[in-house]
Amino acid sequence: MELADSTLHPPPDPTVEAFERDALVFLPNVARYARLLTRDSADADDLTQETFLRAYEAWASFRPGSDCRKWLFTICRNLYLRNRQRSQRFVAVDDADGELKATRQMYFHAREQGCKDLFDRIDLGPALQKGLDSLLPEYREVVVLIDIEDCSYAAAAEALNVPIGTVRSRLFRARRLLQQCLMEYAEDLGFLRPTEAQPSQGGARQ
Amino acid sequence: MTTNLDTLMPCHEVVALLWEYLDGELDDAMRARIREHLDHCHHCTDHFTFEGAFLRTVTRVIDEPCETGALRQRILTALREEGHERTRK
Repeated sequence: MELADSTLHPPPDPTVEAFERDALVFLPNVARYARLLTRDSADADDLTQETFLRAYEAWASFRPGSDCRKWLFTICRNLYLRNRQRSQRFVAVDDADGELKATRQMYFHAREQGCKDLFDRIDLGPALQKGLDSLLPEYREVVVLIDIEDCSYAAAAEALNVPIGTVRSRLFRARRLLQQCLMEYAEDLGFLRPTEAQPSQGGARQ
Repeated sequence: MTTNLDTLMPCHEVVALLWEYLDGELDDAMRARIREHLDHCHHCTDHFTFEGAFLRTVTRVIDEPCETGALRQRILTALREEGHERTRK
């Protein structure tokens, strides 16, 4: 999508200044994405720099007016996967409907205990950070793209080069796992009584 | 205008579209059908409110400012070196 068709679109201005104006403007987005992928600030800075250098190398092929931010996310992710040699890693088969059911059970659990306003009532920041750390990158990245970068499911699918159904099921699973972390944290603090058995496999580091 | 309750979507179908609704992924017609259901079903409204609060929590916590001033300079320096290399080749 982003590649230039030289017969229809003139190539972008090749100067560093133009690249700075049109691509480097997304540095905060890419840097945050890289940090959430790597969970290490030095690795993230290296990955971010590599992303922009790689994008600049291919800048003549970029079609002006197309979604540069999405293109940068794609480059960043591909470099990350290559660096970590994770492209063939196993990812649990997802079941979006099952995830929704599990999420609904957690809501019922909170409601039964009069905690419908749980998320507004206590500071869940520490638990959420811990939950994010525990997610596999494949799950964390959909949360970042959709919940933080406000991508549509289709845009995230394109950036990640996976079917939209995969984005959907990974997102639902990631949210279920994060919500489970928050509920457990609330239980530890005594805001909720412990649940009986809750699903916990798949998508989280054990 | 009154609503024929028999034509409302059932709860399980509405809940199946929970995340797509909150993420703005549905077309206008489906959004309207779900909103119509929520107008009449406080159980689903409470559930959607709960999950909406969850999503706001996620966004608030993760969307921390990302300081990139030094990194920006580092990248620009590398880009200029790259550009310089290209013109020499």
